[in-house]
Amino acid sequence: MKSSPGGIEVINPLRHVGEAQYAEFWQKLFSTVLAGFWGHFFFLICLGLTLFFGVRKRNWRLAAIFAFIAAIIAYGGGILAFFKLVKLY
Amino acid sequence: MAGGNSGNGKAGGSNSKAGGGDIFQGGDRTVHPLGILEAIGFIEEAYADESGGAEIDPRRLTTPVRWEFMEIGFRSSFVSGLTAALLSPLAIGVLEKNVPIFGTTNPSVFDEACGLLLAMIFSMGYSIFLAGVATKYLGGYTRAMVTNLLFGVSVSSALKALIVFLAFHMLYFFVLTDANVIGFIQFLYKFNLQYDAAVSIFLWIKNFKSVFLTSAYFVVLTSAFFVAVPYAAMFWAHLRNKKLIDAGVVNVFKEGN
Repeated sequence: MKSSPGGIEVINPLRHVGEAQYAEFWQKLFSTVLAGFWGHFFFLICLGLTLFFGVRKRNWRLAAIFAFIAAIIAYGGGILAFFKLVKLY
Repeated sequence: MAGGNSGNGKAGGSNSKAGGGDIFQGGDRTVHPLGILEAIGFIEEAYADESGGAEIDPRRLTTPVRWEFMEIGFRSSFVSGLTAALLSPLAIGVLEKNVPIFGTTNPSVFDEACGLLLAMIFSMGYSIFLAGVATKYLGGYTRAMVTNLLFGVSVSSALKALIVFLAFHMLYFFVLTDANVIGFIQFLYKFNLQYDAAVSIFLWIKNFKSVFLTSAYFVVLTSAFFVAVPYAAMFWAHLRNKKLIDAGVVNVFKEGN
């Protein structure tokens, strides 16, 4: 952690937290969103919204976007783990 | 729109019931749907008119217009069906533990159900949507609209299933052969691929490729099922209409009226 941030450097997260801590934050975020309870929860919410917008609201663009997000949540963890970008378990 | 309230007809907002139904003569707007939502709008309007007592001659729905409904049904379901079909190898891969879901290749039953649900969500949503539309017919006029729309959807689903079935079989028998996979891995060696990684890629493709055969049949079965749902809804609507007509609650156009 560096001291006395100034100018545009103030938005650089490494000015405020250590590199390891920052990397851990992203690791935790991905492992929370792409796996476990919250992964399943967000996935089901997205599928529900897909059906809601597709069938009820007849807005197929939004339905397709939510289906795409659901697919990313379901399979994104596997892809990131394959490239050793995150450790999910 | 043929079912509109304007024009020289006596239909539209008429409240006449059985025995005193008005004969619809025509409206200002012509039925000319450009997209699925517009087609459904025409169906809903005509359904509202028929429910309100209008007797619309089905012959007013001319051959070009019937063809338009069919074409819209075909176009609207083909692309969405094709994208949905492409997700099925992933879902089957999850079931056969070749593809990780939620970051694991050892999924629970719930995870497997999620994979299947995702693969079927497009078809399922569209099928439920069409089932709702399929119930919005009463007389011959709206029935002709609905049947033509559903016929287009059925033809497109059959074509999509055929294309996917052939494509997946071709992938299995002609594309993912051992010789082709080895050639692909040799190509990857140019990018400094490690030997262990090359072996694992080869084994993964060898195990995974059978997924395409299962997926081919899965797509055919799900296509048939999701086409059957709107027809089942239409059959339910037919029974409902029969009861309403027999009870004299509504009056529909009959030849010779």
